[in-house]
Amino acid sequence: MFKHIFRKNKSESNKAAQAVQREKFSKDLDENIKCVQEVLAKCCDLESRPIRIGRDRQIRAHIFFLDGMVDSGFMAANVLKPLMLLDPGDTGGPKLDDEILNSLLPAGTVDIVKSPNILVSRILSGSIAMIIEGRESAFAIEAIGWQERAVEESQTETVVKGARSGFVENIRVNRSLIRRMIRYPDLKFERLNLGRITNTEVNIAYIDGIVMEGLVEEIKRRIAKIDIDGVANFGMLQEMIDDSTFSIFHQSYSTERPDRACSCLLEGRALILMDNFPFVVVVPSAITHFFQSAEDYSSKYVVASFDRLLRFVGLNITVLLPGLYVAIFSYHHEMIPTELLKSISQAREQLPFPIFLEMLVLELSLEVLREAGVRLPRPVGQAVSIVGALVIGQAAVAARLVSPPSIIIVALTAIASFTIPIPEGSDAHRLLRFPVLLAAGAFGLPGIITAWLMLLVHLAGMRSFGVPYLSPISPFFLSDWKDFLVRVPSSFMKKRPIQTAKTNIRRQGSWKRGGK
Amino acid sequence: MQKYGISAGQIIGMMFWTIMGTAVISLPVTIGLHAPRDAWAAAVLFTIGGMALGLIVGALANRFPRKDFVVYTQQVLGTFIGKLLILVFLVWLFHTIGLVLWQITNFVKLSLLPETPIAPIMAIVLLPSAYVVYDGIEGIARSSQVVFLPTVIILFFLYLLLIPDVNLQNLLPVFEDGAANILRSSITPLAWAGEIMFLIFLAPSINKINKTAKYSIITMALIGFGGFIGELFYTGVFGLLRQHVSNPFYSLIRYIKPTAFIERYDILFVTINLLGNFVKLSVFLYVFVLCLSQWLGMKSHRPLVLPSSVALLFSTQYFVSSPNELVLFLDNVFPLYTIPLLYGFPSLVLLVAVIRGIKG
Repeated sequence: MFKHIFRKNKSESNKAAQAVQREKFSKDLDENIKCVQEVLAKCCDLESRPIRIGRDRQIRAHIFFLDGMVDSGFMAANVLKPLMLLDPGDTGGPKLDDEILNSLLPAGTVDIVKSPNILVSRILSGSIAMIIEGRESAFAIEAIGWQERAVEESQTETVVKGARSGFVENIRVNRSLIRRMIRYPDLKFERLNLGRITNTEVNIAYIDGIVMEGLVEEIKRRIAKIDIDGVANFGMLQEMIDDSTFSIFHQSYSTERPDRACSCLLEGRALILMDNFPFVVVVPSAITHFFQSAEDYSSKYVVASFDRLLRFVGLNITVLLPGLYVAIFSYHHEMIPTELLKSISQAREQLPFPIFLEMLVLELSLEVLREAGVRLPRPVGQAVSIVGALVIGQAAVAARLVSPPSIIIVALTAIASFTIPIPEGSDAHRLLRFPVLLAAGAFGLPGIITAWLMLLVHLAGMRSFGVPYLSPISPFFLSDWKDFLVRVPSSFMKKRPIQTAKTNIRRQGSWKRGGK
Repeated sequence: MQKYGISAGQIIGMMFWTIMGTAVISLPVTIGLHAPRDAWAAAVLFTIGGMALGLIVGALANRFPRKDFVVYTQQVLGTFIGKLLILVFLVWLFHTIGLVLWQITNFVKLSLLPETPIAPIMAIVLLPSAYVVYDGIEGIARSSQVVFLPTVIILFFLYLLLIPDVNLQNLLPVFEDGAANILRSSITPLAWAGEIMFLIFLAPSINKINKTAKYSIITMALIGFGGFIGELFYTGVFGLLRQHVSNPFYSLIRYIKPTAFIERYDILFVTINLLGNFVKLSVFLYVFVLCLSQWLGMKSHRPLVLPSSVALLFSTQYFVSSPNELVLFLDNVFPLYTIPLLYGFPSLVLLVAVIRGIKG
């Protein structure tokens, strides 16, 4: 059966190829028009009109464009008007092409296209196509005029102090946002296309001379290997270029902030930009990214270090606290002081469920609430959170189904999971607390230690584009610790991360800081 | 992809817990049986023995850099004798991993999970090690490095909390136990120190291979210092009573006075013990699986990880029947064949290589 399906797919793609079989234009204008129209048949947004070039209306031509993709005002002023008002004396001869290309069209990008295939793809990406009679070529005039979102503040990575602009869907705007911050000729953007059908533009951005050796080639190799009809989200791209596909962690991370993207470029990392998505993917990534936020660099180093340590604690609370709570109260009562044990045991008197089941149900309902809160429209979401808080918080305690200490633990876990600044990290750790909880329920503390060790081993064996995920903890690099769990003052961070910038380590010269 | 090899810090992290892991549990008991008052002297002899073996290991690593021990043993001693000796070593190793696993499991069972049957505990103790061995030497090195510093700091912290309970009068008079007893007490520790020879199997992955001897001496010095402090504390706290304590360190930790925040500290000790023994089991299992795969002439050690682990889980339960039996075994029988094997095997290979003038 599967064979049959595959065969069918193959024949379909062959058919598509046959439709665009014309590799070259003919001299006959009508035949060329027919060729384009055949390929774009049944596309109601295709607009086409015949025009005549020159005041004497000698030369027939035909233009195509997609409605909504091009700026019609721009087209009228900069394409139609100059051509229609052309002097009769200039219209003859083979020089017309050069004339049009070099001096007649006041548009930024004008190309002569030799094949109908390319012409169609240009039409589909927002160009005006013009075919002139008697020529085996056509003009593609770029006149993009679709609606798009303005550069706005980033939604996922908000800061109190810092740049406000965030990436948008348009890859050109994103490029310009990066270029504006790094005005350096060695900042390169290399273009690739991804997806047989969507033909999505993908850019690799890096700074030549700083970027990790071999990284760009490796990214290109991995992206070129992908054979897919279309990439619906940048998360798919991230998954497809990961080193360990089955890991719970992404081995790259995405950011919406140009300033963060630029600092990654300066560290020797590379960015992958993808058209239609307001995020860029940063590779390689490491465990350090779980603790770094853009905010850290605008606040004083002491405050930033404190915040990072808080995030570290928050991460550990997220993963371990529910498990520890269950382990201690079902296996190791003797560990905690008697008074505390007494008060919690009193709260747990007459409860019907064992503590493990209670925590499992509470954690799962928290996840349900969170998921519902994210999916529902904003006004309804508020209602859900009120119901959730009242029903689960108050009523469940009043009905003696769960104990108040358990609710405190669950709430603490939920809040702690939001301290991790990147969504890739917080999502993974949110899920990891369930295996820990199960291990704790089955084996108590040894179970938690086993679960923790499994996580450690997993992280120790993982690499992101060849860079060990656990660096700088192991392999140990002291200078990278300056920007890890604590942040030292900026003037002390004289080196780039060693792993990514092996050849070009120094980022600051030997200068005397401040008033010295 | 770039290979990272093992750095100095990683070797020390690995080998420290490889020897210290079960040494913390079992050695104080066997030492205490013979020389309760001068137990610290055994730690000194232990260090000297380990350092001597470290020099031999270093010399072998220098002589055959980037070559596997299994391979050059056959080259030096001849294929038949080489294979036979490696086989003996493999049998010894399998049995010893079983003993290690049994010691950890029994300790976890006694201290934290008295009502859980021994087989599932054994499985969860072995699981992370099997996983990391599957990943390979870099994974072991990295996770050991992560585990090393926190565990050593906690250990140090626990000793600090114990200082008020130590009575140095218990150590006096010095050398009262007699030279014969002191020597007798250091035999089992010497067998433990022999495990430093495992470095020889890891040597091909070490970044600076000519410093192998230095690394092993640093490691032995660290462990010796840890053992020395430990023995001082046992005797200082328990006095001559330590002859009758079956889990000295565990009992020691229970001496710490409760504070407002933590009632008992023994859980910290169990934690570091599990983490440390994870390193120990990983290194042992890795050496076993690696050695076996090279002995069988396989390209990768990975297919052997699962069968070896399962075989261990099944056979370990028959190796030991009771903790007392284990103590007697470790005290009287274990060193008899372990010391000749661990010290003699590399020395023999080195000696023959020097005589025959074989270089790697």
